[in-house]
Formats: sequence, C-alpha cells, structure tokens
Amino acid sequence: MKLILKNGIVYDPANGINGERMDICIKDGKIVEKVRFAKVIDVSNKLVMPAGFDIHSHIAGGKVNVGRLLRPEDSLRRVVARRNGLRSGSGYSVPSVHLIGYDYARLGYTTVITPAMPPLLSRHTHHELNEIPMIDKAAFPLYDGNWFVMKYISEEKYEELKAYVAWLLWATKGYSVKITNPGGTEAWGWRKNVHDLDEEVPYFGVTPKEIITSLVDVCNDLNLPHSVHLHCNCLGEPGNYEITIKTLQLVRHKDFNGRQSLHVTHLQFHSYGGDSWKTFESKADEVAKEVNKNDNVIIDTGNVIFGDTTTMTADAPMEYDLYLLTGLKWVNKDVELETAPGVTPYIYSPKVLVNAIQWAVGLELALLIKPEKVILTTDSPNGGIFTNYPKVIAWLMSKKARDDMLAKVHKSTEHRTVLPSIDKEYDFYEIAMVTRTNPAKSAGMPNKGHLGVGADADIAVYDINPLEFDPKDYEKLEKALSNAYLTIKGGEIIVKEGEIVKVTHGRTFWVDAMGKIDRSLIEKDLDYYFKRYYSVSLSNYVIGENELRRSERICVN
Amino acid sequence: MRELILKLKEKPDICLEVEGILPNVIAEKSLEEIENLPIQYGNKRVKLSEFFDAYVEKSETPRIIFDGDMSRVKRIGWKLDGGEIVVRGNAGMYLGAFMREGKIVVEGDVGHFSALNMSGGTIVINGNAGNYLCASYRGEWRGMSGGTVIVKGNVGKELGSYMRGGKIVVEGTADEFAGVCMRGGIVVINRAKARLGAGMIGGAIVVNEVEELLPGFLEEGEEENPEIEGEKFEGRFKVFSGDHAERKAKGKIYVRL
Repeated sequence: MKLILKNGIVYDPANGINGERMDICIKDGKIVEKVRFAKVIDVSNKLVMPAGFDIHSHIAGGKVNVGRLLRPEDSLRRVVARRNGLRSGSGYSVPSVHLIGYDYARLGYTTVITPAMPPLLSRHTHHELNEIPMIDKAAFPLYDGNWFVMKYISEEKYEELKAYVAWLLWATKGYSVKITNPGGTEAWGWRKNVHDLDEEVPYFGVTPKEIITSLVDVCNDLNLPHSVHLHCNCLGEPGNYEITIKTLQLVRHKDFNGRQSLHVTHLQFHSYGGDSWKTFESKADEVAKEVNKNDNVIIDTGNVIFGDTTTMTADAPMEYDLYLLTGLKWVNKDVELETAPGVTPYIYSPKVLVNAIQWAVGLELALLIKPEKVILTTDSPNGGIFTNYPKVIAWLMSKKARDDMLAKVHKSTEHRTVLPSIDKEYDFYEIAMVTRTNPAKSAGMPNKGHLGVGADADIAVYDINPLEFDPKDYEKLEKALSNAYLTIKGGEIIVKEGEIVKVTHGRTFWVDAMGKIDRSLIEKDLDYYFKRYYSVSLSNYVIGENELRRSERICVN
Repeated sequence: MRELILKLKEKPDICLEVEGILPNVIAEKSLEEIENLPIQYGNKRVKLSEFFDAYVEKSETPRIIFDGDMSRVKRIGWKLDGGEIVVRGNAGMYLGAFMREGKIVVEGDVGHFSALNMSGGTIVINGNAGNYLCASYRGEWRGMSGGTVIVKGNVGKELGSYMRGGKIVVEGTADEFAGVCMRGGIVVINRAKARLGAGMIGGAIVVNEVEELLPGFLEEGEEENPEIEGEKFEGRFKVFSGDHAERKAKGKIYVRL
C-alpha cells in the first residue's frame, strides 16, 4: 500500500525535525523519499509524530493473568461489547488481552515491551503476546534471582555467565536482560530482602552490586541491542534515593564505547527521601542531578496516576510490604529457580500525602532530567494504566495543569517536593522525544521511533494544531492525544478518527546471541539443574521460534 | 408522573436481563418508545415488547410494576437511581444491584446477588432471598455502603459480605457466613446459622438466636437496652467482639438472652 500524508506538522527528534510542515511518503510498510500513484491523506494543521513506543508496560505473562484472576471487580469497571469486528473484553487496570492492543492503537502506540517475563513462564507470555493485536512487542526475561546467574557470579565464571545469558535469551525468545531487585527476590525465599548494594544474598553469597555489574558487562560483551533493564533495590521505601544513586554510580565512570549500559526503570519509585512514612519526601532533584551527570544511563519515569490500580512486579518482598500497608488481597508466587513475583491492588489517593508526593516525584524527574535521557512511562499498571499517558503529557506540557492538580492534592505536598517551583513546560518536540525517540533508541530498534527514510511506517497523527497550542488549554490536548486521528502501523491505517478500522498482528522481537558464545560451557550445569531442581525438562523449557505468531529474530554479532 | 405496568407474556425458556428499564428512564418516553427499549435475551438484544405487555397509567410517583413470575428475569432495578419498582411475584438474580436511590418492593422471593454493592434506597422482600444478598461484587472489598434492606423470609449464605454501611433486617433465618468480613453497618437477624460474622472487623450484628459462634469472638459482658450504631434495641443482650482472627477487629455481635 502506498500513502502520502500531506501537509502535517511533523515532530521527529531523531532527524531534528521540529514542527515543520511536510509530506511523509510510505511504500511497502516503510518510509520512503517519494512515491507515485499513492493515496493522499490530507493532515494539514495536524500533529504528526512517529508512533508511540512503550518500553515498560506489563501487558502479558503470569503476573498480568494473576492480576485478572485476583480482581474480578476490576473487570466490572470497564466492559466493552463486541462490535465492528473487534473482540469484546473487560477490565480497567488489567484489561483483557485484545483490549490492550486496541487501546494502544487508539493512543497512537504501536510498539510495546513487556518488561518482566519469568523465564519459566515465557511460553505463557509469548502465547499471550501472540494474541495481542495491533502492536509489535518484545519481552525481557528476568535474571535477578536466577540460580545459574548467582552460581556463576559467586564462582567467578564469567564466560559461563555470558553463555547462560545468551542461552536464556534464545530459550525464552527474550529481548534483553531485566533485573528486578537484584538479590532480593532470592533472599525472599529465606523470608528476607536486601537493603544495600553490598548485602549478601543467602546461600549464594553474591551481592546486588556484583549481580548488576556482571550483567552490565555481559550485555556489553554480547553487544545486545538494549542494555540491562534495571529495577533497583528498595522500591517504594522511604529514603531509597541513596541506594538508587549508588546504583547509578556503579556505571558512571566506566567507558562502554558510547553504549548505553543501564536503563533504570520506573525511577519515580526509587527517588524518595525521609526515614519513615511520616517524613517521606521527594529527592527527585538529587537523583536527577546524578542521572544528568551520568552518560551511561537512561531512565524511565514511572509516573503515578491517581486512582485504583493493580500493582504487579517480580519484586515479591516489596509487594508483601505493600500488602502489609493496605491489608488488601495479595498474591505471591515462587518461580522455582528464577524469581518471585507478587500482585496486589493499590489505590493512589490525592488526599494521601505519600501518594501526592509520588505523583509529584514522577513529574519532577521528567522536568529536571535532560529530555534526551527521559522516557515517559507509568510502569503500567503499577503507577496507573497506560491509557492515562495523555494526562501525564498534559502535566508535563502545561504548568497550569500541574497547578490545577496541586490544588486538589494534600496541602503539605508543596513543602515536601520542588514541583511548585519548576516552571519548565515540555514542547511537542520533547514530548516526541520522551515517548518515541528515546524508548526506541534505548531498546536498540533502529527502524522504530523516527520518520527518516527506511524506518518502519509506524506513524501517529493527532487532531490538534501544535503551532497554535496554548498550554493553558491542556484539556483539549488530553482529548486529542487520547484518540489518535490516524494510527499507521507498517504502512497500514489501523486507526481512523479514534476508531479501529483494521486489526493486524504485530511482530515479536527477540535477540539471538548464540553465535557469540560456547554453549558446551554450560551444557553440564543445564542438564544437572534441570534434572535436579526444575519441574520441567530442559527440552520442554525452550520456546520454539514457531511458537511466535510473527517472529522477528535480531542476530547480534 | 406515571407508572408503567409490565406484564410478562410467558415465562421465558432462558433468562432475560432488564438492565436499563428504570423509572427515571421511562419517565419522558412514549409508550411506543418504551416498547422498543432493548433488553437482553441470552446473547441477543430484543425489544421489551417481545416478552412484556406494557401499559401506562397515571401515578403520584414514577413507578414500574413487574407483573408475573419474574424468577427468570435478572437485573430488575440494576443501578436504580430513583423512583419505585414493584415486583408482583418472584424476582430473579441481581435485583437492585448497585442501587443508589429509590425503592423496590418484591412480593415473592428474590434470586442470588440481590442488592449487590447497594449504596442507598430501600428494598423490601416479602419472601425469601438467595445467597449473597447485599454482598459485595466478586472480589470487591468495598461492599454495600448504605440503604436499607428488609427481608420477611429467610436468606441464603454470605449475607452482607464486606458491608461498610447501611442496614439489613432479616425476619427469618440467615444461612451460614452472614456478615462475613463486615466493615461497618448493622445486620439484624432473627435466627443465624454457624460462622456468623466470620472475618468481621467492624459494624454490628444483632441476633435473637445463633447456632454457634466462631472461636475468634470474645465475650464482652451483657448489656441492657443497648444503642447499636445509633439505634435503640430493647431487651438484654450478650455482647461479643471480634473476629479476632483478623488484625484490629472491632466488630460486635449482640445475642439476645
């Protein structure tokens, strides 16, 4: 299919295009220089950006499904009937499988990565990803509490560790290395947690610091497209900004040949000061300073949206602490040799000081850190469901939107945060950067997140004139961003004026680094561990490429 | 003001769902428009007139009268926001669920999940009620928050689970687990079976006769003519607090002596 988007106002930070009126030509699912005999769509005075890229959103896998089972009442909050060839569905904070695809397409997003896949549950995750329509996807397998990883680190067998990392990516069809609360999830097996980078994990004797630095080195050696995706220790605890800064400093002075070596995720949950809930305060400024100085990291925000949501992480001790706070229902799971996730509902209330500060911290981080290093997420659904992204964008683009919200939250918020004193307002160029360019660049997908010649024709058009936008009129912006005027995926129009017009199934990206390692190094250990400890056999553990609906293998060399 | 009389033509073979047939909805509509209102029949949308004969009469208050055996008609008064509904016969499941305001009177029995998560208004049931009367929706920890429900007959299991406010009066027998996980409000029962108030941490249950109490309840003494949740009760009661299997339990059970 050949298309020309005519006269749109284009923002494409990767190619330095800042609000220029121009045409975009599409042929065979790619963006091209020019095209003849094409269908012309007039998008004059409309906002044109690359389609959105969400690098951290829990959309599939064991936890999400447990969330659905745990919260039948959440299903009642949103029920969507079958119509126009679309499937029915339900669920607000954990929508059913097809709704996730439809909702992302309506927002103008076409690539989403599910960031925490327990390797043992990767078959489930991939089969669920296969069913999510509209979007391209990938999954990060978890390496944090993995017995192989900790064994090789404690025995200082670096080559074996490298071989195992690459083998697990291949076996689970994963995209990159995710670490969640390094060491903490294994310590949870002993009813413990780790609270310092140098605290030893029981039995294995390794420290979070060793786990992080070893895996960072492995990722660099293997030259994986994305870096280590790190969820730091002590999530959500008062005073955790110190351990966050220490973690960031682990990679600050190293030279990785210009490679991004660490993606620190949902930083908002890791930037708190104070020593108890009573003295809880924002330390976003300190953390932002460290991130700005550090060339090797990129962060995503993990903004909080007020309302009722379902938290789900592979950080079981943290979910248990949250359960003790709220007393609501809670699920904990032990994934054999690998990790321990938990799920519990949570309500962010503007009248609760801690929640109001969390809301402010997310915005402060986005406003204080250089936009080149920021990615906008809500850690969906932990901070709030992804359909609220337009709300976060409105807060970033409009001081008035923030002030209006500040007036509604707990009064002490302004004393514990610096948000009221920040006047910065994002422009559309920077918004395109934090929702499109940066995540695609961080994930290492060169054909995503920009509109240069050769890029995938994934484009979002919104019905708002960015040149005439007044930040005071943020409600209009929110409305326009919530329903894309056009979403184009692989050169096909999938959303038109907020309605889905075509259902497609995207590709699943995965990384094959088997060419860089010697599998025979770990063969014996694999055999032994699978026979001795796993509940499945080695041959049943590996996901075949034929199990992915549309597999997109990325070979690294 | 007017009232609508809906006469069931014949008992349907599968259940009907009459969500959206409410006094405030029909107030401004002509008879023809009312007859064309959609209702759910299995997986099909059908017109109201396919299963009901509709008549309109003058009345003081906006009112709908369901005439006939409605035991296969679900969701009567679902999300009711004012006006009155009368059921001359039995009613099916979900009667008055999520109701906010208004009044429902049923002359016969009602099905399961009636008055689910109710937040206001009044329901009077002259017959028996099924399981989960005034309970919270599946999985919800914020149950019934207001309103009054009076049952002349018996009720099923898990009466008023996760209830936070409002009042339930049962003049017959309540089956097991009445008032389970209560947080507030008051439940008055004539006769209760076992596991009364299991997991309750707030609110009060007043009962004339109870089969047995769980070990999580501790005896607190006796009270004469107590005032419970702002209401005076006559007679002597033995007071129990609990359910101490939960943290910070402040629930009360009053058993008449």
